[in-house]
Amino acid sequence: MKRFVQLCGVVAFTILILSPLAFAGGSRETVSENRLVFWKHHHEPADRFLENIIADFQAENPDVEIVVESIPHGEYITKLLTSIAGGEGPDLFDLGDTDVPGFMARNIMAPIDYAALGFPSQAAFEAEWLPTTLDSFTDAQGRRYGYPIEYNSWQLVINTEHFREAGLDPERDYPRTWEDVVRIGRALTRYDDSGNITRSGFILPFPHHSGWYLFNFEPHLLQRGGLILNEEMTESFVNSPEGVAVAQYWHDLVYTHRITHPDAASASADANQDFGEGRASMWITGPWAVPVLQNYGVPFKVVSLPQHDPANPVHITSSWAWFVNRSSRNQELAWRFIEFASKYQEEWLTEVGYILPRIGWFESEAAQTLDGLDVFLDGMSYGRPRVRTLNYAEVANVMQRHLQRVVLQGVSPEQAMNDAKVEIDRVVRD
Amino acid sequence: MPILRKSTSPLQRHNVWGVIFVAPALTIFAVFAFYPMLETFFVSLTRYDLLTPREYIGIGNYIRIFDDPNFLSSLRISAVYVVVSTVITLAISLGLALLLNSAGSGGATVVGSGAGGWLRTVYFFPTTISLVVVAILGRMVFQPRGLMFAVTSVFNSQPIPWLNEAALALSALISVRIWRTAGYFMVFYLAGLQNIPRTYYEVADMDGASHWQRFRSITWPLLKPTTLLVLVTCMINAIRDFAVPHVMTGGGPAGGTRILSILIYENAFQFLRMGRAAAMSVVMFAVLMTVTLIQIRFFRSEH
Repeated sequence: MKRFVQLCGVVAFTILILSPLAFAGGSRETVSENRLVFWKHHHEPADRFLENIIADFQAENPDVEIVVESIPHGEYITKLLTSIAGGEGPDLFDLGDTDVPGFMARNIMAPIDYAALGFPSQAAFEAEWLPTTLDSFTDAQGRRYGYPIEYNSWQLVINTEHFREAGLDPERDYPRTWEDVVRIGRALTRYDDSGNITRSGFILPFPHHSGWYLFNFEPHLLQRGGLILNEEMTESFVNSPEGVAVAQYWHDLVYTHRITHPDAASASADANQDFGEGRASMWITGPWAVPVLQNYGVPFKVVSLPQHDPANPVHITSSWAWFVNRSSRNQELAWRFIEFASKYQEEWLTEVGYILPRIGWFESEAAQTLDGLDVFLDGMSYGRPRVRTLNYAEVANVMQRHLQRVVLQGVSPEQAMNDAKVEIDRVVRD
Repeated sequence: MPILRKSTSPLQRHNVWGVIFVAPALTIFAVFAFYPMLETFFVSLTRYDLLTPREYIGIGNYIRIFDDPNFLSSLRISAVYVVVSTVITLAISLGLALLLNSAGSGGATVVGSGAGGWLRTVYFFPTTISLVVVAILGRMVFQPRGLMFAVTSVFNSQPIPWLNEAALALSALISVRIWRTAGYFMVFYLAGLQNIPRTYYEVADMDGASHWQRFRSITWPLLKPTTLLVLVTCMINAIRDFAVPHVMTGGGPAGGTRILSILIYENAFQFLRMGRAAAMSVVMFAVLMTVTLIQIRFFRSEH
């Protein structure tokens, strides 16, 4: 009997140790009917402005609680996917167009609830938006999932003070072609006594996220008639003559023309920082960066993206939308909040730099206050979406590594693009 | 009926109580370490993206990774990272311990006990800093116009591209790892040194042994168990290192610091190729286990 009691004691002790862990796994937070968890990628102006919108929404709906988690861009998709896989995903989240195919294939998002948004039908909803701006968030059957909150075209920003200092008129002398970038970049670049670049005439996204590499590489490639992937997304063309030419252009900026250099770039988490702090005179970015650059206090002007053939301009567009988690128990509330937040279209633009591509407000007085709005909108009219594949993150990772070989290590562009093609082909066929 | 019959021997009773007391820890180990290890192996035989059901593909992931230049390159980078950082860490931690050990060295010491205590704290301090803080500090020190540039610009006006050149970036990572862990392993060696009886050194002094002879014939052989512990622990920690390399270089530039843990992380959580990432983890485990067993065997046979 004593032995039995002692054994029971040991078993009880073991269970006692394990039980908190077991309960921790089983005690998920109770889901309130009036609580929304909203995850978004970090963008300081958007985070700040969203607080105001939530306060307004909660003033109208005092029983609703909205919890926002703003996650650094580099970690955002990883956290979002693993959280959803673990059954703990947010009710509402934002997502960039390149990640949408992967999310759709995994059936993560709920289709738009038009009634909750206050529209009588899908057609009535679609009539509110600029043509094609909903396409990135639509499946093969025509079901819409995402509510666009940010529509970007990628343009050149120039430091007007640097231009004047170099005897150039920023209103007139800005570059129209990539050759102009080199010519003007030479006049803008500054060196120290040892010949090291202290200010880049034009800067590439050397230490930054792989997405930045494609934002800079892909439009130039498209302008030359090249492609990252074929239409079926089964084969890469980055080693085409056009792809090699763009990689060669990047190589020459660093090693031949010497208008930028990796050592002249800071390792900051903010890709706009070098331009914002005056260490670069020209840089490619989107409208969302306008408030960020204004915060830096840099004197700048937005001009059209340089072209390979100005008579046939090609720009690249990217977009982000808000989505509702298919597993959310508060879907109707989530859509209601989205519709509420989207009514602040002008403030999203002026405060945050987000262009909501809804019809009928671009001419408003408030809309005209964003520096370069006309340039961004003009770019959209010639815009082509970024490459859309289930494996975008992997493709961008491959391109980043091989373009880094070109600009950081001086590897032959042809060699690097051949290697990139082999890797991308394996990725998309796996 | 008593739990342990009187007819059982004291050794048997001892063993049974041992098992009983180890049971809770063993259960926790089985649930949180052994089971995930087994699960990792099973996942490595599947195609799995976390969000859709697993598809069994046999050894497909293993064939794929050994055919992947990125994996082989990652293995090579990891080997350099682990071996170089471990050897240098071991040498520095032993050197620091010898320097600070006033009692065990049996003779003249460089630092007195008060200063020694202070220095022990200084050397141990990096171990207590958060890994992310260490990584950010590392980035600030090695970035193009960072502290290292300020130091080296006295001799060379050209900035050294620490984080923009693959070999240099790996050296920077190794330096940070050594700085972070040498003090920690120094404590192991200090404990080992203090366990060596002073009489051995006194006899050696009477025989007129030099410092080198005392180290070679007394200190080093008697520190073998400590060295084995340091070696194994240091290598295992180095191969599992993730936070500092991830934050400091992110595997760049151009994949030049993409050690295995970063490649596994990318495959698992950025590309959602869980099966492939699991296969890489199993290979990493096998390599680590083999190296550890070789080390143990080598030290035992020498002992």
